[in-house]
This record gives sequence, C-alpha cells and structure tokens, in this order.
Amino acid sequence: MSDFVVGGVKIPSRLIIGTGKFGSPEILSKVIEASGATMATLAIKRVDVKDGSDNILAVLKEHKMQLLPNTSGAKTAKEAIFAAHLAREALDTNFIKIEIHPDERHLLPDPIETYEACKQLVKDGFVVMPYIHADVVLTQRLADVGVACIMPLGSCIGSNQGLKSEAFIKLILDVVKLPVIVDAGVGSPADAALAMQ
Amino acid sequence: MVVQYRLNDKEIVSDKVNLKDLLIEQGLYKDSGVAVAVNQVIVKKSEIDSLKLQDKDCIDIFTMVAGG
Repeated sequence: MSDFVVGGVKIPSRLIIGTGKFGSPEILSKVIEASGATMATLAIKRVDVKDGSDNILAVLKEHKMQLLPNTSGAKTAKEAIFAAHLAREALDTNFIKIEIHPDERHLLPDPIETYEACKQLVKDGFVVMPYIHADVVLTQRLADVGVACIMPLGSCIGSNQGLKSEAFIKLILDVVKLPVIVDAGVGSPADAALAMQ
Repeated sequence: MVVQYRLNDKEIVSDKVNLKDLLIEQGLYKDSGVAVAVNQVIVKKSEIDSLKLQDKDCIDIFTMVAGG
C-alpha cells in the first residue's frame, strides 16, 4: 500500500481518531494505543474561565499524535477562518480540518461556506482538509483551489449509519487524485474497513 | 492603576496592563494550546508577551478541547 501523505506529511496510519466521543482521557489514551492511529482531531473553544478545559491536548501530545484541529462550531466561512487562525496560534500547526455546519441537528456541511473558507485558508498557507458531502463537483472545485485532501461524509455525523454515500465516494475516487478520507457516520469496524477499501 | 477588562464576557478589574501578566494573574497562561484575541483580533503568540492592553478591552481566550 502506498504511503498516506497529506500536506507533505506522511501519516503512518490511515485511521484518524475523532476525540469527541470518549468518556475520559484515559479511555482515549487506550484507544490510541490499541488502534495505532497517529493523527487525531480536536476542537478549539473559548475557555470556560471557571472550569478551565479538559486535558485532551496533554493526552495527544503524550502519544506524539499529529494534531488536526477542526473548526467545529463554525457556521460561516468567516467563523471557520477565524477558528483556523486561532488553532494555528495555539498549536503551531498549519493543518486544519474545515467543518462548517449551520444546521445543528444534522451537522451537515455547508458547501458554499466551506468552499469560500478553503479558498482563503489555502492562500493563508494552511494544509486544508475539508469535511464535505460526497459531492464530485464540489470536490473538483476544492481540488482546484488547492486543498490537501477531501473528507466526504459516509453518513450524518454520529448517526452510525455507515457508508450511505459509498457510490458517490467511488465517483470521487475516479475523478480526483487527492487523498480521500471518509468522515462521519462510521459506526463499526466493518464500516471503517469498507471505507479503507 | 486599576483597569477594567471584559474577559470571555466576564467583567474583571486588574492592575495588569500587559497581556501576558494578565493571563498569568488569571491562571490562563500556557506555552501551548491557547490562543488569544483582543477586540476580535487574534494576537500572535510572539506578541503576547509585549502586548499592552487598554481600558475596556475585550479579551477572549481559546483552548483546545475534545471534539470531532
């Protein structure tokens, strides 16, 4: 299997860990060890001055993970661009996963705002990894502006419905040479294996 | 001299007029994993040590959390 390279950086494992669903940092630590994953996503939020923050960063650094900050919570391109620049200052990384979902119920990505954010952030020197619908036309447009990969959804975030978009993901693979990382909806190891295939 | 700031929507008073000093006072200063915006403008890490604050400045502190 060829090396998995995003933004010029070789990622030893093709499995990326999302950090939003673990009950404790200890469980996350065990999952990292068991999975062999080397990249993990994390979010940037305004500090609760009273409560401080979780210690997610310490856990990820302990495991020497490649950090992939995301813009979750952003509803517009402007908000995502702001979050990306904050993450760069906080982590000294140019990697950014673009998530723009104005619909809080289904967390579906806004293609127009995502495109605008990607266009600007590529210009700003980021390694841009956008979460999108499995949309071939949008993928081509994003490839043209210089994103490092695309992250099409398998199905709705957190739905555990698996690869409902499989046929469209196959079309994307036919059309672009970018790395394609299936994101969202993966509910079982079988779903993950299918995505890898 | 006491100065009034808005820190993450909370009104505070402090005698600190340097951003780094204020963050240390509030227990929010870290070498990594934190970003700061003053009046909606992101402060570069290299400028945190020297940035002078003004009365009524709005300061927002961001940190990395689990998510995604």
